[in-house]
Amino acid sequence: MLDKLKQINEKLIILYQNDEKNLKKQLIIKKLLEEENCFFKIDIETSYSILKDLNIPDDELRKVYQELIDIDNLKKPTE
Amino acid sequence: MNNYTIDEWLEKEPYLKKLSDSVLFLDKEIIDEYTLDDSKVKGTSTKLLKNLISNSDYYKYVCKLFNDEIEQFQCSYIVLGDVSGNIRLNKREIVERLEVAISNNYLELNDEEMKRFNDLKEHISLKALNNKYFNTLHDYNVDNINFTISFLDIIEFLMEYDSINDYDEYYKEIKLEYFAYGVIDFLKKNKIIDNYLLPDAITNKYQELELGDKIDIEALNQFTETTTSIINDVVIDQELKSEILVNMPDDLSLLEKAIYIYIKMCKLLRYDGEFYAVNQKGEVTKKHEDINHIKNVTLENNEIVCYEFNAIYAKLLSELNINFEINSSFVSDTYGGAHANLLFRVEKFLIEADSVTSILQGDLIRAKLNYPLEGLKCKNINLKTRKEFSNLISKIYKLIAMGDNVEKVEEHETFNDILREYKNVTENEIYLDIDEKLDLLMTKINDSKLIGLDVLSYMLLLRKIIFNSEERKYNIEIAIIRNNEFAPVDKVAMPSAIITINQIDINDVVNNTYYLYNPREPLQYITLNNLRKRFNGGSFEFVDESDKEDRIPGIYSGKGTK
Repeated sequence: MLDKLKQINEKLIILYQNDEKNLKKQLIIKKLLEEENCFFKIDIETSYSILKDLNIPDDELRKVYQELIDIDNLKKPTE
Repeated sequence: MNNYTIDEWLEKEPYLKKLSDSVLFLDKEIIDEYTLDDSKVKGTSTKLLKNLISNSDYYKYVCKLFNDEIEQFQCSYIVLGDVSGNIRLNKREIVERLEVAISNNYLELNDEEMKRFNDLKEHISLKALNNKYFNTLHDYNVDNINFTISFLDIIEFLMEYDSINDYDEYYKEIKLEYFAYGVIDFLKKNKIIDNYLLPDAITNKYQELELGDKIDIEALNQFTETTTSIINDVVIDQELKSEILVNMPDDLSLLEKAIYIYIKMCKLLRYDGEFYAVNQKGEVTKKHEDINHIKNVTLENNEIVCYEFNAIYAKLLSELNINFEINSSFVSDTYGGAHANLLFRVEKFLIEADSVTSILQGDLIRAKLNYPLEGLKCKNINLKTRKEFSNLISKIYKLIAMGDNVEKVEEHETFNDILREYKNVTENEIYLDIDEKLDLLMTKINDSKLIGLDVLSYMLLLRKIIFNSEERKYNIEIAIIRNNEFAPVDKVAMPSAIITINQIDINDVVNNTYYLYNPREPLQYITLNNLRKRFNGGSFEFVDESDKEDRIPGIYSGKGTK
């Protein structure tokens, strides 16, 4: 799931190249996503906010978040 | 009260008589006068300074000092047979303070007194130092290497100190740090700084050397051998050992290998949940206190306690020829029975390794999450050495993380800065009500396939990220307890958890909802009455008695408690 978010983030970086405000936000998100367990260090509200900024639909936020904080996936190769 | 005179005390108490060879005994009133004197030079009364030169009784002791018959000038009074009110001065302090007092006209000395002062000054001049030590040689043994340095070499080193770089490996063909060790040892052993008037240029260099800012000598002559024989009996499962060492690059330095092994061990081993649940007491501990049990620790059966981690780590360090010491709460060199960590040295680094600084949040958990380690520490005072060590940990941690397909191990401070930056730029306002959060927590706990203490640690972690501080105070509490009822047949007890939930305030126990979590089973709803019965009946216990008051509202605390 984290790899998918990174891909979305990279696409948004390309998309927002001429939009300084959104580009800056996506670049910050890129730095946050570089740590695979970053969502264990962020409160839930901020995590949801990051997912929204990555254009995850509201009705999928919980499902995606659950997967991100699933410790069973910690050592498996990322998707 | 015995109001003896000084002479009567010396007559009465033989030890005081002997002490009077090196201590000038005065009446308390006189000592008080010196202590309370408004006119002082660097804390020393000018009246005392005057008497040192002009009073023959005082001057006798000053001469003893300058003739090296005593180590320092000391004047004291006697009270109830004890020595008190000590005023102490070394040679340099006497001369320096007299010089200041004279040049500022706090004192007037007659010709004889001035001559005495000049003699004292001459006695500890740089010329006198040179005359005493000029052709002398001094032998040292550092880390089992013998070498000799001359007095002139020492002076040259101090004069050239500013131009010496810490990356210079040798000075006069002797390893730089060994030479520095010899210089400090010479100055300390002969009390050169206390006994001679040296230019500031030399005194300052000595102080810098002692602090070790440029050349770190703190580790020298430490851990030159391993004295414990405990690890001779340690046998490590071969598969476990292979997994620890697999992929460790051959070209790592010795210290890097020691760090690599520590991190891999923390990733592969787990703290024994049963041992935790019984609060590390009782029959359960006996298995761990048998050093032969270590050979039963495998990749599958990977539960250990602190001294087993130490024993395995120590064995692997010894195979790298790294000397170490096991540091235990027990005084003796026995194995087990108390918390233990490891101390060892590699080159200039003095290192402490404690994988269990905290059972639920120590490195045995942190390494699995790629969190910054807290149990592997450099003990050197030198900041540069500590920074070097910290950089090496980061390097090795990243190396291992790359092998786990993790792109980056976060530097905790940098991550928080980035997070703060994100919060400043996002326009989203997210609100999640308490019901939704509680439901999420329950779902994650029920879905988790973790076992043992890992799942309980995970639960505490989720509580921290899903609930804010207010919610953690008023809406949810998680207590880890000892469960004697549902332990597997081969265990005395197991750790379980009680989750207390209330939409308003968990201290209002009547409206609380309680859940029992047993590993490998779904969460079960449990009533407060049922909980109380099980605690009263001994099926459940708190792991740590101090938990009683806070962690399960309704059990020994909160409104509605019996």
